[in-house]
Amino acid sequence: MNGEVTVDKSPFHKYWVILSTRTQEDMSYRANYVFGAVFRFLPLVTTIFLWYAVYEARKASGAPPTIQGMSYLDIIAYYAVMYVARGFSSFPGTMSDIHKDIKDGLLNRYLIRPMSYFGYQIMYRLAHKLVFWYVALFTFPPIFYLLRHYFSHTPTLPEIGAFIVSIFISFWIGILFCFIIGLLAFWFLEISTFLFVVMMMEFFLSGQLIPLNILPAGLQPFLQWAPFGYEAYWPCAIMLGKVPQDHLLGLLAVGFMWIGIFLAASQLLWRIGLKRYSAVGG
Amino acid sequence: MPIIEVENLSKIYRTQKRLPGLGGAFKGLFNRKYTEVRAVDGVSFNIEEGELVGFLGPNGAGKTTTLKMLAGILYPTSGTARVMGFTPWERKNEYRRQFALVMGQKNQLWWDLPAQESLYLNKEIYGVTDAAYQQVLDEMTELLQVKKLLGTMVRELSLGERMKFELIASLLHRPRVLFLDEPTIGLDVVAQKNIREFIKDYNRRTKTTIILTSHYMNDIQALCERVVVINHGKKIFDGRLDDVVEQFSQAKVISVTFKNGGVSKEQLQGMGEILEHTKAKAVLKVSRDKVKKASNDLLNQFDVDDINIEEVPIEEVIEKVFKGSEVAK
Amino acid sequence: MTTFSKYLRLTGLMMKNCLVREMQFKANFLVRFFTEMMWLVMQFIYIQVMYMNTGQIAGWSKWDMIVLVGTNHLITQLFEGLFYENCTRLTDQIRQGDLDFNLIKPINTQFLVSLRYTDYSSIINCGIGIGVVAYALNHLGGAVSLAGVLLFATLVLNGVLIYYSMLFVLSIWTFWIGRSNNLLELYWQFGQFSRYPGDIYPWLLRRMLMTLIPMLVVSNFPAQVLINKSEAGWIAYGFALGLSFLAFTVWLWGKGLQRYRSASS
Repeated sequence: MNGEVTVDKSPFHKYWVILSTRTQEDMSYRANYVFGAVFRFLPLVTTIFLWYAVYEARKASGAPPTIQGMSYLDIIAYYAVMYVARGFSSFPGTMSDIHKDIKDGLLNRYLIRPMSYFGYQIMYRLAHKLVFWYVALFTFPPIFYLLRHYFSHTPTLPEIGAFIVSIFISFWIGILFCFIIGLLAFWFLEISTFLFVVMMMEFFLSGQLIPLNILPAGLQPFLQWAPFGYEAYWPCAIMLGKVPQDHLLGLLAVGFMWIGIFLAASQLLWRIGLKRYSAVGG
Repeated sequence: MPIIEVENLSKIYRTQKRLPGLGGAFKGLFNRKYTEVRAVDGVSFNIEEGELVGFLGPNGAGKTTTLKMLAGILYPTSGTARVMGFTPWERKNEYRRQFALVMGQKNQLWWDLPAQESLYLNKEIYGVTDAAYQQVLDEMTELLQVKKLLGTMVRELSLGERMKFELIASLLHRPRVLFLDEPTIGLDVVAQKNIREFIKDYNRRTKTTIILTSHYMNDIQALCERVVVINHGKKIFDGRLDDVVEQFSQAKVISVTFKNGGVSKEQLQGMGEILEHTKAKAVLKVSRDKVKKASNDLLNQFDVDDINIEEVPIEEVIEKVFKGSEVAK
Repeated sequence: MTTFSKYLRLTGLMMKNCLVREMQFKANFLVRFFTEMMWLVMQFIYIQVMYMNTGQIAGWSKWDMIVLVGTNHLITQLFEGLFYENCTRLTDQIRQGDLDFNLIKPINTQFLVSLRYTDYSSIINCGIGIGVVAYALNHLGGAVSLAGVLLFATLVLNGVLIYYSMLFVLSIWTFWIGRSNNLLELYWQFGQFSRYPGDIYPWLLRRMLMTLIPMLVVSNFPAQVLINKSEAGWIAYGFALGLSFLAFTVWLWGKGLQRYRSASS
């Protein structure tokens, strides 16, 4: 070609290259992944016997067999489905990576390239998730087969659809929240303790420690409306049939509202922060 | 009775040969092939107390591996060694209390502490009394001129200063045997000189037996009368450094300067290999048996201002020795 | 100076050196300390919610359970403070051939590599663990004899040594498989078995957790002493187990060193 140096195949091509390269890198750690994937479920063993003892004690003392509508089988199924939900919405290290990129002045290499920093981060994390699910495709089914007796509710079609949408929502809420917190590095340099507190809070409010509906009644309005529930609690609740069918649409709508809010917040923080970053001479 | 006796010491590493590609990896599961690396191959020597011996050899020759076996860090594949009557790899505390090891560019000092704290820890580990410790410390820091750096964090010291403290740390317990592995590597010329002088002086004063490995000729030349040359895990020479040259060098170098105009290349033809030639000077490489005749010819035929006969530079000789042992394999 | 006092003195010296080093990185210390505390808080919340819905779990009351949580916190923090960092570093040192200077010192090498670093954020958390135990015992009302406290303390040390033995073995596995292993991850996965009463598990699993992977011996045994749920026979067994695990590490370490490959210069 005369005079042309490069031919840009398509705007998405560069994102694809990152995705595939990163995926290949992760594949080399495959053995570690399989190992980790199986032992990841070990805590479930204790959970199964611990809650069994709780429900047995309740039975012996004549208390009702469900706690806030959750039977023993339900609660175990909840913790099991939690693994699936977190497989879509947890992005370990993202907050601190973004924080580090800003703090150490490494943003420059992304800013001079014709691509969005967000776009890069999303592809990077997506690649990680793809590898996770590639391995999970082999390790999860056998484990869930072993746990099949805990699933007493067969999800209806609307519930399955809502579950898939809620997973989609959880991905975006998860990653956007990481952006927002990571972007705070534009203003605060040393926030390791803060990051940790935020992560603990996220862990708790997303229902990973305890199903949100079992927590004290006084907290319920806050818990149900807060965005973190969408990261793990709601997908599990939907799958377990704990959300009435007529509530599903409204629930998902609020989820999308939160995505919108987080998206706007992250874009705003990015714009303002970038000005500040360049002003300091990045 | 020699303080160090080594007989037929060998260290052979077996690593699994990995075939390329997926098919190779699969085959590797069933049919394992190994490659053997003979890091040290049947080395024998004796060292008397008080000697300062140099181990010379190219990288990967096996000199450091031999040293590490004598320090008890590695187990040999075969052969025996006795240092001060002990078998090193049994790692008896009694043995370890009597020798020291210093490795160039490797630290035993704590990075985030003042040098003095690291030294004190060593004192406690080796069980050195307070009085002895203070005496040795004062003496050494004075000699090596690092007394004012005792309170400095190790990470803030220069490479040379750190090396000096490494030496001091290793000598606190007045070891009878000192193993030095490339102690001057990476140091600037001044630091190298300081450390060399210190080692030479220390050996002379305390009669500590020292084995020094290096691939710097300057170290060996300055310090060691006796040198053991190791290549490809085998000992190929053991004797005085001068003898290395005698034995392995077949040539000498004649440097001549001329008066009145000089001499042309053609006129020097046939006398030897011309290494350098300018109007007033020529440097020739002449085989040993022809040196006498060549120098006579030069003096008779030309107007010679000055004539100098030297050995071929030792580096060249050693290099040839290494290459020679390669060819002989 | 007897050998024991010498080693004690050396331990003190190394710990002091670590403290000096630690003080240079205050922010990091706070983060780590805070992290450990937060996990403890999460455990409390978990237990509180469970006991809001039942009066006892497998015969353990809420405050019984808190004694166990505090004991477990004490043991894990003591272990992490003294040994965890050393074990992780050891794996790298073996793989990279960095043990040379440790091997030439005239003291026991296993001792040196196991106690060189101390994590003070965890050590201080031990105090919190003790505080929790004391607080819970207060609520339970029963008095604990001096003998009981001593037995508790020795069983706590026994638990720490069991953790140490298991992790030490996992760290030195690199002598045999050259690559870095994340076997240390197993500590976090298996560790949660020591948090809760062994009485919740079915017979077979409980036996396994008292023998092969004795997580129940680690924390349950000492806690049980304080809440009067223990039996003398089992306690003797617990000590025997701890000692044999420790002996195994000494033996394995010796075997591993024979395969040691120092770093090439």
